[in-house]
Amino acid sequence: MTFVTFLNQFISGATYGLVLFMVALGLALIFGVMSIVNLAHPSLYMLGAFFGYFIWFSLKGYYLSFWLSVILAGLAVACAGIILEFFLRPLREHTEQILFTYAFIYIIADLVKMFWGGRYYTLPRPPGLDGSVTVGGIILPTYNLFIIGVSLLMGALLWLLLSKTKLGKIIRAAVFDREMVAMLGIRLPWLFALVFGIGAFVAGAAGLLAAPMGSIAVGMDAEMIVPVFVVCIIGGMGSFSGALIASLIIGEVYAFGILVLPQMAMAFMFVVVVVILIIRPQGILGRS
Amino acid sequence: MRSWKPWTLLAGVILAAIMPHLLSRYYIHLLDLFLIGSLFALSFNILLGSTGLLSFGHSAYFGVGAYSAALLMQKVGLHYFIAIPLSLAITGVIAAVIGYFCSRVVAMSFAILTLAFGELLFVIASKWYTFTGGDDGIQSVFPPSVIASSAGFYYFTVIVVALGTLAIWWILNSPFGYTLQCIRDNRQRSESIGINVRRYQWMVFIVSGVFAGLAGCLFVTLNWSVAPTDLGFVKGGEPIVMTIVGGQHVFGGPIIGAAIFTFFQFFVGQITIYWALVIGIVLALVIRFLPGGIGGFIQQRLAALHQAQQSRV
Repeated sequence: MTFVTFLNQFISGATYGLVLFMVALGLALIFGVMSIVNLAHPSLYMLGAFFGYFIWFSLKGYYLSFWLSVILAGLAVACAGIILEFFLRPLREHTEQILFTYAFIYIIADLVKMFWGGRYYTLPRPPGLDGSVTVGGIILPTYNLFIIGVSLLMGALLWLLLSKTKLGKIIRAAVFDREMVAMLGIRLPWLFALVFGIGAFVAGAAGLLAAPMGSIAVGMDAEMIVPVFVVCIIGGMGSFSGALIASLIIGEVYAFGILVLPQMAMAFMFVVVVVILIIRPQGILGRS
Repeated sequence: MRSWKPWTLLAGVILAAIMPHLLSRYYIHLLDLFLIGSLFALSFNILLGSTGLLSFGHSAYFGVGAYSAALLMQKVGLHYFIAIPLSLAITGVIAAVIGYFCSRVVAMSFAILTLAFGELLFVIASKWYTFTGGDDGIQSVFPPSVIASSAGFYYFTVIVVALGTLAIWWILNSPFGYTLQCIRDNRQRSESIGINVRRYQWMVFIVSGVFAGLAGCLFVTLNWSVAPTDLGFVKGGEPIVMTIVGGQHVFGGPIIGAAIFTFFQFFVGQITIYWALVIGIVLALVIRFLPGGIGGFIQQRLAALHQAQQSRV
């Protein structure tokens, strides 16, 4: 393997991993604050891609249409997430919550099929990012570098939100002691809806951001479920930095696994899972 | 003792015996699917209802059972009645290997890890063309002539599923089963009174896997073929839906759920292609409004009725 192929493979692995990271971010946030595992999160990612595509389609030709549709798709999915959270609210038991979100995998997948059919939709890369850049004589696709940047930016923004703002302080306090926060006059239901909305927004935006690298179709939720949740468990449930490390590991293992055994690239991922769980059952940065 | 019990049992046996004379082949096929689904869901509920472990990859063992039966018959050329016990053993071994890792974690990590392993087996089954036939699966797995006919297979399935159900009932009502309930209700206390929780979790994983494998063996005999989707994520959802809708805390709950699920799949499936949407909504409504499932609801009503009668006397 030459250095150039190595680098290209590395970039593509990092891109894949960081798309996973964007979806895992919302999951980690929701789990961290509300200890709910939202199995329908990859469905929200798919919903973002579909909403985004049709918003983009109707805005086609306008200046900055792609960026506008990313934000609008994120907001639309945030609304969907808040609706989901509203339905989830009366459930107290973890198993009930996880199964309830599981039911929404079916519901969202069929609704998408109902409205947009089983077709494939493709989206061109936005102008300015469709080319490639040359770094030290090596040609790299701009869009992949952009995804890496935007994903890390989202992670950083969420981290800043949680650690540096007043809202973040309230959220962290709610993780620590819900009742006390409620006593201080914070409306917990609103706070939870907001947290769920933020998580859904990131997943929805990620859905459209990842779309130009593949296609938009029913089934992109199912493809996402296993890798995203693998990232969450090996990173440690609810940990942002754990999810980042895990998503990079999974992305790279997948990208280099394809070179060794194209058919079984997914299988390498599970070897990593098994090894990590033997060494640290609670995940890389998880607390037991 | 309640004297109606032997009579209902007898009526059930007679009804089961005359079914092939009453119904057309299509409905017998649906009955077979319902019976196989019940066994599959009952095996799943050993984990969920009795031990409190939610597995999203239970179809893995169903599929391993089906695949190993098909492979043993087709590649090794074994007779059906030798291939079935052997494939159960293979399912047990694979469940033991996966269970070794899955018994290290609980709750949500368990749910996701089982899902991940199920998907690993799915990848192997759908990509390893030379061994498993890849996406095409394995066709023309012919059962022996005794059970090749519609009625013959139906009787065979009734007997196997009845025996399987009895075995599960016996296991759940044995000291082993009570230990599982103890673990479900309070893991820490179980550990402190000297139960090796991890080993029990491992054992129950294997037991439940083997019964799922048995359901898978019946499934391959029904269809004469097996495909990778039989061990995929969607298939893994079937016992979950059946068990939750039917009721996880009642022994017969998964059976009720299997009946409802089979009904939905085929009758609602004829009306609309969006039957998964209907299933999803039913599942969500049951979780929200009937947390004990339909079986739990019936049991509650019966208990209330019983109490009302008692108080009248």
